[in-house]
Amino acid sequence: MATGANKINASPTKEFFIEMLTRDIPLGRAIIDLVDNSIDGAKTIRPAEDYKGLQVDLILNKDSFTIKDNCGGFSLDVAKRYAFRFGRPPKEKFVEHSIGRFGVGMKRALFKIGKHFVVESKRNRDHFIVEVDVNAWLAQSDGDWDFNYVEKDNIPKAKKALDSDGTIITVTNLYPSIQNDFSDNIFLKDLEREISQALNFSILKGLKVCLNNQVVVGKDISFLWSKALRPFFKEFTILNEVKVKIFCGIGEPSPSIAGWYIFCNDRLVLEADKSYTTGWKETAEDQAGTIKYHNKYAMFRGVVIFDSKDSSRLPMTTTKTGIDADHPVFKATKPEMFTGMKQVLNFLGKIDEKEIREDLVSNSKKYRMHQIIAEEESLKPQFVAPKIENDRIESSHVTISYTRDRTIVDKVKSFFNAATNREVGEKTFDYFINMNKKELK
Amino acid sequence: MASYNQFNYNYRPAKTIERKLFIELLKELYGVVNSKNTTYVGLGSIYFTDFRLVHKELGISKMINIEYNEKDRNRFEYNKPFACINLEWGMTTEILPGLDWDGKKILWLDYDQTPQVYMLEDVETVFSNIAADSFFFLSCNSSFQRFYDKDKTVHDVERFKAEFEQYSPLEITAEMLTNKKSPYLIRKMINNEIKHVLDQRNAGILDEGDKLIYCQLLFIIYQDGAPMFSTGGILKTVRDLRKFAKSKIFSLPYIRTAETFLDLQSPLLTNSEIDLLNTFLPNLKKKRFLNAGEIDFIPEVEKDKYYEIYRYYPSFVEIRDF
Repeated sequence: MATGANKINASPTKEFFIEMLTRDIPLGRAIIDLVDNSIDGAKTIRPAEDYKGLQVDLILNKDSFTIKDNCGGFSLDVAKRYAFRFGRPPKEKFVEHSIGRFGVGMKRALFKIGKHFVVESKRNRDHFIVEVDVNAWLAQSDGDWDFNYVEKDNIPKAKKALDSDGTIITVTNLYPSIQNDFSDNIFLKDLEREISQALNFSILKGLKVCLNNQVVVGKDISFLWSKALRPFFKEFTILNEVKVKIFCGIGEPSPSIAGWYIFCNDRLVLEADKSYTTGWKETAEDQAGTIKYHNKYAMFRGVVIFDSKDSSRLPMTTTKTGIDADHPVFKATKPEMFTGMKQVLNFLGKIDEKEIREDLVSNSKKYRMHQIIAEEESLKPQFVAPKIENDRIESSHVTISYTRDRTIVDKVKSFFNAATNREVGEKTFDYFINMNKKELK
Repeated sequence: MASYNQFNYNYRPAKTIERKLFIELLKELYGVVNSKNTTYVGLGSIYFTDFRLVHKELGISKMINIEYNEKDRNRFEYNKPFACINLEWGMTTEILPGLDWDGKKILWLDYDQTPQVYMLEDVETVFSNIAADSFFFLSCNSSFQRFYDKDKTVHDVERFKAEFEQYSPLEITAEMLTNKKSPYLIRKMINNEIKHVLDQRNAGILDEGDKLIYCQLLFIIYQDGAPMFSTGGILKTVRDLRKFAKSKIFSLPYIRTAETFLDLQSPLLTNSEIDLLNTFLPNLKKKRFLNAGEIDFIPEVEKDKYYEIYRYYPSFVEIRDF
């Protein structure tokens, strides 16, 4: 470190990376970051993105964490130059359409999970392991950030786990809270759900992801679809390099599933969002049926798919758990998203009755995202929906409701031989009408 | 009640003048023949006055009328002056997002209400979608009377802020809500929203020359029973703006590109007086006109008003049905 005259030490500490960066990401997402690396490997060996035969296995228990894949591994050269660096050096080439290979994800995940890790990778003739004891690494001098590796025949037999191209990472000496999580069924189910959604597109392309030996089934977003019900669709390119697709429509009523879903290079980074970021406004006066989230809008579904060769152009945060709302690509997408959203919300705002919602569901098919994408050429930037006749406004009938003493109501009920209180109300009302026919004419 | 049942729009003099200015400006901007790719979008009410003018004077034949009162559907269909007018039923907030936004648009959102949040949402929708060289014009009643406090002495700023939320300027004061100042406030809220949306669109445009700029051309106020407000302008690319800035449009007397409004005041004159005044017009020297001896029996204030707008002043004649 420079400590000469007029110099101030502004270099980072290792503790910063271990203690601070790891706080910014939930554990489940850190683990998915490691799977992202496997998928980026898959993209390298299968540029056409047919992942059949490729597999990622995650084994989590209270003693260790392991991720193993057959997705091509990475070379010693890549390992030396940037895979283990904190942040990607600006001039290094990148995997096209990746989800940010080796920027910070792998290190952050490993440091978050435990104090000892081994990374083994085999790619063509390269085969090496990097073993790090975190405490020992911290004890190295301040400027020494290096990890050591052993390769090929020097790898001790007991530590060698790979026979074919791929990567295997094992973390041991887990932190106590991580041990708890890894043996907690609720955490594991939650992780399964996150993987099934976040990586759905890759799973659809044939990638097999297993969590503690159970295959994770992709979970798709679905839209209601019929002749009279078609989502809004708009496609455009921003800044010459980011392709954007926007879909906006309705799905089955569900307040937790409603909202915007945003994908960056196949990876879900924002899920069921109903916040200001994606155009929901907290307007006090809900005048023209505008955009304040309300369970009335529980059928809203919006999907934005960003795709770019260079993942650094995508508007996501480094944790891939959100959108960088200030990113020019997202800014330029917002007006288009809002135009689609307004069309759908205007429609939903007019539906006052549960029956109409149920009719919409029963009269349409459920189309999954990949089916919608297959049909995108027939779609327009106009949301098509059946006309809603607002019965409540147009109807010549009104509802009367009032409360009366139960014992008396029960007596009247048996008098009329009525089954329900409603029937009691109707019959007593009709009785009054009959008694006063002349006057009421 | 829909406002077309309260006024006959044909006979509001200031409104008529405004319409004529609007049409003249459009003619200057677009010419008469080159309008194949242009759609006029308006809120024509049952009189369709703007639609008649736009079709007859500009030859535009793609026209969309947005109307909320679907109960009056038959009346609207009957009063539709030309076959080329497409009637869309619903609120502007419902119809605008789903319009086919391809091609140039000329929009006149001529609301009959006082300023409302949904109008700014319409501005957002329009500017999220319109192509360069489209024209936007918005009119509404400019009164914020509904924000008067209980004693009707000052406007309740907090209530305004709660309703207009992100659209309310940071520096809002009660004085800005008074009838005297409200046109400035409405214009500001509209222009702020336009800038906000265009900044977003421009963030995704690489070539500086392709970026979009809104160029305000009209800012009008008048009293036709109620205090009225209008503003509008054209959307240009940065590339085209330089050339456009030199166009003769800017020498038209009613062009207002900034914060000063044009106040359309209708003079109170008889038809005979108008005929007489016309014989002294045009006159480059306003003072000489006002002081001309032959017309000194006409009040100066009325002559002054007439001088400013005489080319656009409507003449109403009752035709008796013998």
